Amino acid sequence: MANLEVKTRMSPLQLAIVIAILMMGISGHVMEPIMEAGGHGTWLAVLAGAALFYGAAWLMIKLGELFPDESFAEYLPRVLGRWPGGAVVWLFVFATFLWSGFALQGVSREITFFMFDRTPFEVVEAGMLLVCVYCCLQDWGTILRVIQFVFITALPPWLFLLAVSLLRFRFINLLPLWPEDAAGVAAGALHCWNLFQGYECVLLLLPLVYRGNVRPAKAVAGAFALATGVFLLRVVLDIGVLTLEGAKNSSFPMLTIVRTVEIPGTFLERLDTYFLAFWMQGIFASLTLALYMMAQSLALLYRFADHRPFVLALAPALFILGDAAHHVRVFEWLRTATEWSGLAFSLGVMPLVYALVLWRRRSRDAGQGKGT
Amino acid sequence: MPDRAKGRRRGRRAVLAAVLAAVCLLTAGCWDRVEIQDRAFVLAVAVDVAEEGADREPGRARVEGYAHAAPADRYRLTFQVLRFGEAKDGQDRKGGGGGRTFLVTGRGPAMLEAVRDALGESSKGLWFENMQVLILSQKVAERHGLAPLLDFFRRDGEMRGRAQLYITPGEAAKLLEIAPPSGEPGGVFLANVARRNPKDIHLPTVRTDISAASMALDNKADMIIPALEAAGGTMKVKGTALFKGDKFLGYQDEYFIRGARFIRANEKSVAISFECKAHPGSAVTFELFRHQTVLTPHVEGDRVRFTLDIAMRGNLDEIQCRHQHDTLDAEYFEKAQKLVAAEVERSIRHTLAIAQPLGWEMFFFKQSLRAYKPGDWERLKDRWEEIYPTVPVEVKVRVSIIGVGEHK
Amino acid sequence: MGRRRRRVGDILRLSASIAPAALTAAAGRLQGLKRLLAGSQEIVDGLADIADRLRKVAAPQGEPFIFTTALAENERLLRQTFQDCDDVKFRKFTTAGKSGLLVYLDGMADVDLLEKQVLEPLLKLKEPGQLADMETIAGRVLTAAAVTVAGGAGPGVESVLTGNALLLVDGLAAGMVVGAVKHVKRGIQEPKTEAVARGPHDAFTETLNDNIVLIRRRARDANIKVRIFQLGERSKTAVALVYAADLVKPGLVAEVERRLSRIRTDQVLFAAQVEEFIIDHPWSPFPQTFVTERPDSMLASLYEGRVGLLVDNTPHAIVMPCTLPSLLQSAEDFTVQPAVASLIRLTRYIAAVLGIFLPGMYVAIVSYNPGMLPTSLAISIAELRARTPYPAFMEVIIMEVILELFQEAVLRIPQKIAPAASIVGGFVIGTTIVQAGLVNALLVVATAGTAIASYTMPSYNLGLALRWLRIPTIVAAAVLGVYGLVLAYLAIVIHLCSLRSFGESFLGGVFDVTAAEDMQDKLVRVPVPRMGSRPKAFGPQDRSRVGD
Repeated sequence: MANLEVKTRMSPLQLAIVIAILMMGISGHVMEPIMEAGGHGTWLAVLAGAALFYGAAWLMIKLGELFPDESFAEYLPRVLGRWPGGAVVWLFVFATFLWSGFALQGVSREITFFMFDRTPFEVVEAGMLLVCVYCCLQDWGTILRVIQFVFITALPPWLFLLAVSLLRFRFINLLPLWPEDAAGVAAGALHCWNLFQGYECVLLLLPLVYRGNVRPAKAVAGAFALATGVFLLRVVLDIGVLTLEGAKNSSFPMLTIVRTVEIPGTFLERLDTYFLAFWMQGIFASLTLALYMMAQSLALLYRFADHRPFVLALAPALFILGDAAHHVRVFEWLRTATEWSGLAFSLGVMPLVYALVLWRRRSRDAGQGKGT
Repeated sequence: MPDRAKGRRRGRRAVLAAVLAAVCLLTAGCWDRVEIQDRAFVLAVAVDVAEEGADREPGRARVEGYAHAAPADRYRLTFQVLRFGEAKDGQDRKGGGGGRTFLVTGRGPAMLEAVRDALGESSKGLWFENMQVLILSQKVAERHGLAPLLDFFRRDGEMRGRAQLYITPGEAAKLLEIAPPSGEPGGVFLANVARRNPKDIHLPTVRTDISAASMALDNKADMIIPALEAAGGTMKVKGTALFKGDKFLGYQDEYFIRGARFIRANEKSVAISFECKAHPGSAVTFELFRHQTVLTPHVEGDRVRFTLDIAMRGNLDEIQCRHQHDTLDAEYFEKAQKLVAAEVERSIRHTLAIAQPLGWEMFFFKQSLRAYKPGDWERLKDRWEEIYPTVPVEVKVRVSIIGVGEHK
Repeated sequence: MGRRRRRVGDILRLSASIAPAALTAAAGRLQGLKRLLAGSQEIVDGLADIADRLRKVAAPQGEPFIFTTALAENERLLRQTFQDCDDVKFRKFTTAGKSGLLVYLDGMADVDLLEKQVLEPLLKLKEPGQLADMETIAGRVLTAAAVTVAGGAGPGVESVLTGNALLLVDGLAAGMVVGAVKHVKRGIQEPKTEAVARGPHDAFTETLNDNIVLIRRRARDANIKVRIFQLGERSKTAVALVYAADLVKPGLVAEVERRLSRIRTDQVLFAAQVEEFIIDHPWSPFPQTFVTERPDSMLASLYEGRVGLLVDNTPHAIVMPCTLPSLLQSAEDFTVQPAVASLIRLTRYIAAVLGIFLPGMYVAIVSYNPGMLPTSLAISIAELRARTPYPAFMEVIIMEVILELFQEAVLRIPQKIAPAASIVGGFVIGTTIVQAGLVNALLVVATAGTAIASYTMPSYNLGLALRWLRIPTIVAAAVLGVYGLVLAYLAIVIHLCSLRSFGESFLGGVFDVTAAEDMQDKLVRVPVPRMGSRPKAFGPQDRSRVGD
């Protein structure tokens, strides 16, 4: 049937929403190493991390703008050669795969702990994954709609419940604001990759964005600003309510905070379940996007018309990875691996690729200049 | 034709989805389906040492207890469980364990073992999500320290950080047998006493629930827990227990609590009485309305001191003198304010005089030093235990009386 | 025949002079001759049949035959077509020396009109010259207003079945259709399901023409186009496609026509049949066309750039594309104050969510996550439930079954017993089921709340969709508690987002940041002066409602 409405494009605002939800959805279990390193300067570490990773995102946008109407999975094999280009795409897929598996296990951990007692992780994971796959098997227009739906309906109550925790906030717990340990803050900023991961999707989604009056770089900046604001709120709450030591020792600081809040005189209690119910939707959105990112990159790399076969191929692999991380030690290891692969891709490989592309262009232009 | 093929494909996909969903439903048994009425609502838990009350329990004479590979029993846990079905008439309160509740007990080398042991006395699984109160006996706190006692309650997923902590000098389980006169279940009663009563002079009005205690343990900070005593079929919150880290230090009275409340600025509406100068023996009472405290650390070299600036507003609430005063007289007013301030300072001094030698500190001294003088704190933190008992505190209290009530 | 008898006479005369033996031989030969004659008669009949059939083949595709100049032949063919249709009347008459025939359907055609405006002028006619051709008859003789010349027999037959009269005159190889439809029909009445307190009270009826009139009367706008098709290979039901030519999204009308043209069915009795042929996802529980019985709602939809479809014999119009927000709009919203209307709208959205999830929430909370309840509430629910033997899931299923039974019963039984049924259902079952301890009072409240929430839907079909979706959510809640409920919610959201109605997203302008301005008439309704633009979701050619 002729689809009268073309839904394969998106506005810069939608790009911002996609990136914001990718970053915000998956951010459980990742504050702890940042706080471990940053101490009371965690908020500075988050800000520094935001700046650092926005820089990485900006480079990716610049790279993408050199090749309008093409995603990285299409131009990289052409520019870098088939094998190196494919390798970069595969690294992207690998990094995304690791963090989405980490996130899947993380969320199943939280849900089993707070909502269930005996229900196995596998069932919780499979349920979540099933819904993600169902969403991912739709076309991009539908996925985008679902993401917006979740962003508009689930994020505000989630933030509200988080903000309610301010009732138990004590400013003195946050102090001293200025940390003594600058190196710790820097290390914390690097650990922030796990907070901001997901912005790499610009490599894939940039060609879909309308060239309107808002530049993609600005939209991405907006997404970073929103996510950073939420992360700062979380840092402030974690430390301000639980104290630094308490937050560091807690497995699920955010939920622990929400769990102990009392709203006087309401019929709502035990806000952690409500909180999880909303947060889960964010995680669902992030996982769906991650799955789509991987499937679509591979589809473009191998010139498939459709991303769906890759979704069906990747989903079981993701389930196995998420399931393998049951063990608390493997889980910790997975977090480290996630961080390293992400940092290697964003701060190592992509700037190199950008430099290489620029250099090649310049030398080609120079060559042509000589020729004429 | 392509349409039909598409339709067939879509049909096949629908079948596939249905099969997947069915498989999920079938494999996903219902592990955690426990109907609300099949859960034993644990409203309060009392922790005693293992040997307490062993003679009163069934089965002890015949079987020694079940064999543990681990060390011998440490705890005896008593659970106050809600009894269903008597809410309708509101009158039929039978004796024997508190009318709306009944008790089950278990013992073991660890808390979870004790919970499992207690299941022998319960027809339903114990369910802790509505646990309101955790009562520790003094003996168990002294013997084991606070950290092991709280670990189960801060670690397990079913526990709620908001359960109130109490300590009792005698046997903790005894308190759970008392039916509160209000008709509330005992655990709910005790939680409401602690939670809803900012004017209660017996309470420290800091959060004394499990999550607060857990946080204090993480920060190696000191703690205060209200004490509970049973007498003649009723119970009363009376005095508080001080803990240094997780070590029990002893009890303190309400006057000590009041001083601590002044320093921590979480006094809500205390009544402060002072003796009327014109009529010795008669009390004049000031009711606090608003309260602000600024604690400032000062560090000069190795010397640390604190200044405590307190500003208070309130009303004159009661005058016991037999002669009418002109309360609006400027001189009287001034004098009254000074006398209240003096009383507040006396109270604070009293508290500090007790707390400092004990090395017990819940007054934000350490926290403010760390927060506002981080450099000095890094330098001094290892010697803090030596510095604190003798650290000078300057107290300045300003009181404004903003009303005298309906009579002059 | 005459010649044969003469020949027999000759033989008899001959018999006097011929020997009996020769006579017997002659009789034998005569017998043989007779047999031959009978055989040839059969051959003639057979040839006539073949000729008939050949003539039919000569008629154009889709027509039973073509009119010939011989009236007798035409009549024979018409009688053949209407064989055993006793309600078809053939009125023969003679006009200016020529015979004529008027064919009409008894009860469907206006006999008065035919007498006065067709028969009377024709019977009075003296000049044969005015019968030269049908155009002349129409122009000079007949006084009736609606006359058309029917070249083929197909349209002629069909017009007779529609209630018109077919006029045939000897010597003319054409018929004339005289518009004279006058059959029993329901008058225009108040809307049954979409009544408003302040607003027009006329609703569509079963008659297509009247329905079109209701639209036309509201807009003196030549841009409103009405195109009439026929659907159903046998029933030949008239279907009118209505749209605003300068607003509708380019390509939409062609798409609707394409889908209509693909319909292969013998009969169209309800508009819903057409609907199922043209929607994208026939298995989805959600209604995918906007159905209204209010002409004003339909016109408003046309002016949003949508396409309407009126099906003869159905007093409801179908509007495409359809979005969920439009299903949650009611004409009432536009007759009350905007602030009130906005609140009602929001309530409706909440009701839609509750209508699906309330029983599931009950199951999830009672069986899996009672920790979500405050202690005092948890205690009172536990005490209520302590006396019911079934798990929450069974309890809810029992209650759902009773509710569905009750709803079905109320729909089916005669109106006069309905109050009795209400008492039995509402009071006896509602109260005693709790006293019997089968379910608890809280669940009765929850189920009743759910039912009422689904009754508040302006679209009956949407209410049905909510009823349907309740069951899977209850199952999800019974398997995984609140988590299962959230998963079910997400699955429903994905399904809603994936639905397309004629290429438009089923969710329309809500939850789409690129169509944020559509919100003026979605979750809330702003005052009409501020509603300056048409919804972006329907892609109208002209977004601005004022000025061109």
